[in-house]
Amino acid sequence: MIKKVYKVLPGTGIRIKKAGIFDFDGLYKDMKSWFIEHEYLFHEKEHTEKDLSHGREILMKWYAEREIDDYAKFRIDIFFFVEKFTRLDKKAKAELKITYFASVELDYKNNWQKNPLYKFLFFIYNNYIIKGRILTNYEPKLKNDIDDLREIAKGYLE
Amino acid sequence: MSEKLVIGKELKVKYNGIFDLPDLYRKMKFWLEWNGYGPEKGMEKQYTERIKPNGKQIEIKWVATDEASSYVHKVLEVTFLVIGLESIEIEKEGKKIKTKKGDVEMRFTGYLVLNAGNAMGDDLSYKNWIYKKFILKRNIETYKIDMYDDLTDFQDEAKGYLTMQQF
Repeated sequence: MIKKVYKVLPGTGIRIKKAGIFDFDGLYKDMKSWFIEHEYLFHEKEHTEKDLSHGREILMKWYAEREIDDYAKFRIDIFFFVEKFTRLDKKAKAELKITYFASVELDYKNNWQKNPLYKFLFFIYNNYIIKGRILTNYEPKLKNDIDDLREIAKGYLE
Repeated sequence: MSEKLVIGKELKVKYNGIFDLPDLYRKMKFWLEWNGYGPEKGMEKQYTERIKPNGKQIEIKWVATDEASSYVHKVLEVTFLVIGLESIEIEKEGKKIKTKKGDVEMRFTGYLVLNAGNAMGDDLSYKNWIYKKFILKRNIETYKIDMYDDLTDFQDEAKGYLTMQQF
């Protein structure tokens, strides 16, 4: 059943892990640039850093949105959790976990949420009339975007 | 009536460690002034200091406005919440320096105010409708981008000061 927010990845997201030395600045900048180049509205929702005895701990929560048409918009959330972070010249030594979440928000202008009848029509529209478009157009495009972002991360972490 | 168009809401920057709060305060305020946000007096809507058993707690709220035009105002809001602020002594290059340690959380919100001060009458007025529909339409995207850039730059200024990862 397709709801207002249609998740294209598992609820727990997709995770990449790395422990070792890597170019964190490069990874950070390239991933952010990707959003700008692909016309997403990007925000760093949260950025936390703590100095601990075993190194710095960093938590970053990003979200980015892109209006596909008047009805649907893509949303990508990325969480970075970095532990034992220490700088080594231009690189960093750390334990990094990146988690990706992605969803398509339907009727993001809330034109079909005004009353129960509209909501029923909204349900019919999504699950019978444009289901094909959601599954064969929106979903693969958003998954491609996630694949691009994963490839950027892998390029820096391998 | 004026209309609010939110560009980014409650973007958080948190830091735990050693920092110089007065210096951070000055740098952030300077950034606002340098980028045309004001007024210098009246920007600070709240300043509260409390002494707690685990150190000082400080809450600050700023609302800074850039009157981009008589119709559109850009507004940046920032709240600082500092907890457990205590004085410590650190050694740097053989010298002992007095500084502070604690937790700081900053929340940034940026929005545009359209028809600021009811420059074009109320929402239903013909003048306001024409202005929004035909004249502002061309410029609104530019204002949105400007506001977005200001919001991220301001957030980066705070992160830069706290030597955090930034764009």
